[in-house]
Amino acid sequence: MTTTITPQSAGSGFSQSFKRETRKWRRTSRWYKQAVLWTILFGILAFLFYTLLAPVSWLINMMNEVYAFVSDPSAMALVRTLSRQGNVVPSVQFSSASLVLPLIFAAAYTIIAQALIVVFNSQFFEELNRGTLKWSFSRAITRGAYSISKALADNLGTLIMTVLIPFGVIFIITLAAAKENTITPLNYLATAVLMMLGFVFWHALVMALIFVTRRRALSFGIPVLLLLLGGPLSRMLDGALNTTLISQLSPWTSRNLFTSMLNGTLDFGDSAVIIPILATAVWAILLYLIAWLALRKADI
Amino acid sequence: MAEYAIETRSLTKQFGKATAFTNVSLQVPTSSITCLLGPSDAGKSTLLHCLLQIARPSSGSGSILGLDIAAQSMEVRQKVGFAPENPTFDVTMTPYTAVHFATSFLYSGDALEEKIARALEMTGFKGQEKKPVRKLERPERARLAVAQAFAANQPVVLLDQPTRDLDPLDRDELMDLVQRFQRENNATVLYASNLVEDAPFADRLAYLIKGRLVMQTAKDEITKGAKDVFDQRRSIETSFKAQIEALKAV
Repeated sequence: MTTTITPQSAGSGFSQSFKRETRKWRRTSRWYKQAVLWTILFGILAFLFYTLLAPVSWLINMMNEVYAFVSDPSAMALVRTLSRQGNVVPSVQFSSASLVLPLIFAAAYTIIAQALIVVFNSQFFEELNRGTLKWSFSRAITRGAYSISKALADNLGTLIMTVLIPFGVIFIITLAAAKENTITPLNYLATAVLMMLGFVFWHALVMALIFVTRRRALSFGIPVLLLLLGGPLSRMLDGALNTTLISQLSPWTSRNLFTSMLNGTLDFGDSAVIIPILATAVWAILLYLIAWLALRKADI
Repeated sequence: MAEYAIETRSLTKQFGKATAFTNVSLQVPTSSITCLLGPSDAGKSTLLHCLLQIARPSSGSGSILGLDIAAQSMEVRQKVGFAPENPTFDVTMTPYTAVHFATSFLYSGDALEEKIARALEMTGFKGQEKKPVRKLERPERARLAVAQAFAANQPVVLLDQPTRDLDPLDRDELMDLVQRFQRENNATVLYASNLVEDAPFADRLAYLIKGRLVMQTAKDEITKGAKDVFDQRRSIETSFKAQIEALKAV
């Protein structure tokens, strides 16, 4: 019997690999459980915040007074300083939603980023050490195609399961529970995209660390340390060097923009706004390149 | 058709100062089953990995079906089915999806479905296509790895210790499957093993010890060689007995 192979070109194996990688979250109950868990957790948090904070009118009034103060032309110097430090001040009348949602986003970003670091770390490490990666590379797939498919599929899973679904539900709660809502769906979506950009960076960092060091402790410890202590560390270095550049170039500071992004007051012409966003994207691309370079010539 | 489907020339692989194997010049005839026999840490798995560029050889060269294993590795991998040692599968997989992924690099549409169905039937997974792989027993996982390697009917198949940790009955069953696949597809099969019990299923044996290929020959020659040794020993024993009898007589 003659073996006949259909005349398909060697290709890069990207589409096959992408399908397989997306199946890992599409067909895994772990991801659906995560989506449900985040939805319930942050939904409860949002509901509690609205229930507890909305009646506290003095808090909202106080926030508005603070804003009125910093909006005063004589206080603009202070605003600029705060802005340069990454603490972009929202220029809106505070409502219950604009008070609560930034809190939810900030909490969710830190908690979800930690969970993703754990999940991706475990996933990469198992693939590398249990032989599935060996088998993958025995197929007609280039290591570049594998790296891209992995990055796209994992981040697509993160976007749908940990950003769009939970935060979609939270926004519905916001519409229902907040007495005043000045946040538009578009601004809300833009903030979710900004948060997602942060998650892409953490994914890239874990991937690069795993393939460069092959040590689980490092690929877990370094991202968690940077997530929790990166902000203070950048500010400390900025203080020592009398600059603001380190904070702006640090990808973990883009979360400081959530408040302004939610309120639609982000000035993209301001370097304190645009540099952290671009820096996060550039860091992520660089880290994916490092991961690919480490993988390209490595013995698996 | 070339005489050898797989050929390596002075292939060497080093990990830092450690040598996995050195100067291996292996020849695997087309349409044969060859057993790459050797103890643990002999370099068998690394040799198979180098053929597929999962590990990069330090020096030397090699070809599969006339394709250079380094310069044409993508084309090589399109023509080679592979089952790794101690196969692991993504937790999300079922026998169907595992074989689907392996086969989808070469086939699509109806041809793909036909190949998957055939491989699953041949390896005993008919009716269990949707069973989660985490629920498969060790022999079933070994069979699934082999199904992945066979599914696309590639002309060359590399199996890395396919019978590892299997009991004798399961091992024989799996090796019968390998022989059946080779016969039906006229394929070239190279499998690594550290068990002498796996050797009889092959047409040829290559023996790797401490990274050196010390022997490669047809099984018949080994059998004949063993028979010669046996006959010689019998002859010596007979002669010795005759001498003793003669002495007793004196």
